[in-house]
Amino acid sequence: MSDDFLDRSHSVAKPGFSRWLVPPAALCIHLSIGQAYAFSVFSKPMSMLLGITEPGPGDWKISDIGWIFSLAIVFLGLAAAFGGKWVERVGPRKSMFAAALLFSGGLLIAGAGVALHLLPLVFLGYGVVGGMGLGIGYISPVSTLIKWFPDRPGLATGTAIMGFGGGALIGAPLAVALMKHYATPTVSGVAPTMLTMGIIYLAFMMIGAFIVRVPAEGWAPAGYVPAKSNAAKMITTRNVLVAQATTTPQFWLLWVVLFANVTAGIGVLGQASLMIQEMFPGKFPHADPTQIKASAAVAAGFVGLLSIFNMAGRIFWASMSDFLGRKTTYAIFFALGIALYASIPSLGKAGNLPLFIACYAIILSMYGGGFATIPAYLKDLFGGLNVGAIHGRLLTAWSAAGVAGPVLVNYIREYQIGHGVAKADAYSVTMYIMAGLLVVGFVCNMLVKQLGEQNYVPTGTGSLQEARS
Amino acid sequence: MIVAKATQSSSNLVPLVLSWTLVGVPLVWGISLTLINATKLFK
Repeated sequence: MSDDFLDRSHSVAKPGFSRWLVPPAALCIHLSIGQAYAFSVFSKPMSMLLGITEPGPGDWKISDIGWIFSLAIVFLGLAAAFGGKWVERVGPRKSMFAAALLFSGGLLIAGAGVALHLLPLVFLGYGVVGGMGLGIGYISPVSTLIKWFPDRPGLATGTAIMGFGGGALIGAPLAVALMKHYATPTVSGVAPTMLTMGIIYLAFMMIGAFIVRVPAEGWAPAGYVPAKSNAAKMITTRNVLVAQATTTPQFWLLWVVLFANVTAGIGVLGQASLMIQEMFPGKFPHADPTQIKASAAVAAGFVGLLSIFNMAGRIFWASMSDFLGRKTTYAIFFALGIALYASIPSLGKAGNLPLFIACYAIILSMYGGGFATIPAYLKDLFGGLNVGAIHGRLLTAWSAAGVAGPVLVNYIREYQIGHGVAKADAYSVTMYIMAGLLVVGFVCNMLVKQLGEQNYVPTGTGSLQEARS
Repeated sequence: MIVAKATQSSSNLVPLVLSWTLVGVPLVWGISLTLINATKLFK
């Protein structure tokens, strides 16, 4: 493929191009990289590569395998933070192309690592190379979508980021079906599954890179009247340099906002399956091994349902934020979240399963909504020109939360159980601590104000070029 | 400023249908499988 074809200048849309072709291009990327959320389907089979039916001598431990996902999330944040400016400079097509090579290449390397039974190679493949693909892929369509939909930036970014949530819904059953297809009585199907998925995702992501276009300079949708800067809603029409953005209190307040929302969400998502089984023992009996298996299957259905709300919340809340305003939307996330997190222990004790599920579903919708609304929040505050790069730097909050969330939740739970607290009650303190974290997020969100004049790039000749460089 | 025309060209229709189908079909497949599994919760 010619390098020219990948250049920003060669992906400028011709007159008559429909902007509604851009969200599916973005979805090709996000639905693919969203497979990361389904990586846990490989955990158990990867712990039995030698033993086949059960873990054998020399097989990898589940706790070691867990590091693959954590590493991928860390490299997602690092690639988004350090690659953001490059993504803005080269445009969406080249960055989507790079993301496709990295993500699918990571799967291929990981598949080789599984075939050779070399865990460091899997870390390198899925964790490092694949993780970088996740980071570049995650941010690559964001600023392009905002430029195509200046009238509905929340809807546009929500559609793409919804794909990241939806990717697990495709990746999990696809991986299970492929592993079943390739497995033999003597060989696990993990390695060929990873290789096959790498090829499928490469093709899918390349289609996205082929479809995507950037709007011509000065393009605007029919009937769109650019809004003037709105101090009340904290919407600017000007732009801020990436390096300048990270020196502002607003950037770091939003960093904490994202960190709090993601940490709390990861905390409850990670323990959802165990929690529902231990809080509702009547619904999830564990008296004999067959009941345990059946209960785990029902709990897996619960986790799947939460994934749907995680995905749907991304487009719902991000779209709503176009009308409510970003600050109000986050205020709802935190205020409602505090009430819901604090209610879960009593709902569990009262044995109210439908309300328990409803609370969890709303929490997960706001977890997803937090991810999807943040690019539009950044665009409002810092302008649209460098929003992809600024978003990339903010995503380090996700990496930090990806490590802090599970560690915090597991530590609190183990500490309590170690001190004689019943398993079903051990969640209460965790939920109250998460609610406390949301209070911190609420306060930080309320402290976000419009940027001072000194932060913006002066309007005039050459300023736009400087802002992009 | 270049302002897009209110009506989209009909030449966009085929790529629009194809591209939304491409992303919609796997997504609907994944959602339907997940919902079927989730119904066990309410039995």
